Amino acid sequence: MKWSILILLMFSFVLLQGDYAVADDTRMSRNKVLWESMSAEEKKRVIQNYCEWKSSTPERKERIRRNYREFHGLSLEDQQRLKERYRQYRSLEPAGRDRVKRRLDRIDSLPADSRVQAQKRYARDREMPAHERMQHLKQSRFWKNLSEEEKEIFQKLIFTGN
Amino acid sequence: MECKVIREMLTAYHDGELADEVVRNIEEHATICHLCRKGDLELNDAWHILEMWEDIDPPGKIRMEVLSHIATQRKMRWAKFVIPVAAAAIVIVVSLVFRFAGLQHEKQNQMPLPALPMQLTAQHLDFNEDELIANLHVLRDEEFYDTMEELVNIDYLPLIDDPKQMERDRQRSSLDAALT
Repeated sequence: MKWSILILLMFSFVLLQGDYAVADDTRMSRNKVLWESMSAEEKKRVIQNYCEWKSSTPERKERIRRNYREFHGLSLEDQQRLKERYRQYRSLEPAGRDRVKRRLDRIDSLPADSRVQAQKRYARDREMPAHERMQHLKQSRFWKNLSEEEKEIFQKLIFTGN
Repeated sequence: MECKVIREMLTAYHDGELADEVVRNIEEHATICHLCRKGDLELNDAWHILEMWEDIDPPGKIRMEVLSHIATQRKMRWAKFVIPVAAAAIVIVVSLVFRFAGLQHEKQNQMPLPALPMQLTAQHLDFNEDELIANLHVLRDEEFYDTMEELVNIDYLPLIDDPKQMERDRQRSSLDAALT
């Protein structure tokens, strides 16, 4: 009986180790297939990203990896919304992007609890219909403080996918 | 002494292994107890028969069989420990072999990596293709993952009420307007 339990434990241990190896190996295999299927143009772009990534700090690498994990932890709907927002953001003129960045700098300077409050309010407001959210947005100090050009940009970015 | 105790000691009595006092007790008991006396006589007869028994050397073949049987039994004692250990080792080895044979098979089935354009590899001397492929899932959309936090933060902007910051923004806007 004791031996059977020991064998079972050892077998489970071996399987567990194997599973970790398989998870890594599966990702590697999938990435290889993906790499093979890429066009020369895409490969060029990835290699440029790789060089930039390689020369970046460990913090940035870790942030990118963490964002990757967080993104894949989101619902498909949220993933699509973020991708669409990214597309909108990328399509902005450099000056427009700068305006967005400048507004976003406010977030970084906020105390942690204000940010948490904003996250809570967002979790509550996101369930509202789009027109109701638009009304709320127009009543906010943030909105009132925007120029007409910025309003156009942020309306597109905030109401992505609606 | 009780009969039960006496009968248990009868063999030792006949072997002369008991103390004089115990011997005397047994002999006294035997004079008054019919059953113990009978048991003593039967044991005595058995001893006589055994003494008449001649020690005969067994034929070589039987001797060999008995000795080999004893040796087998001794080996079996080791086997009690060796078999489960061997079984555990076999289970581990087999599972490892299957696991890694599967991985090897998977690897062999994959086509070799396509050659990279020469100009690209030449440009990037510290280029490591394995490292690139290991991180391809991230690198493919590196810029997106790099800006992801900002994209998420856009949702929080209208929900932040920070009068001080707003005042600073107002001042900055008026300064911008004055400069332009």
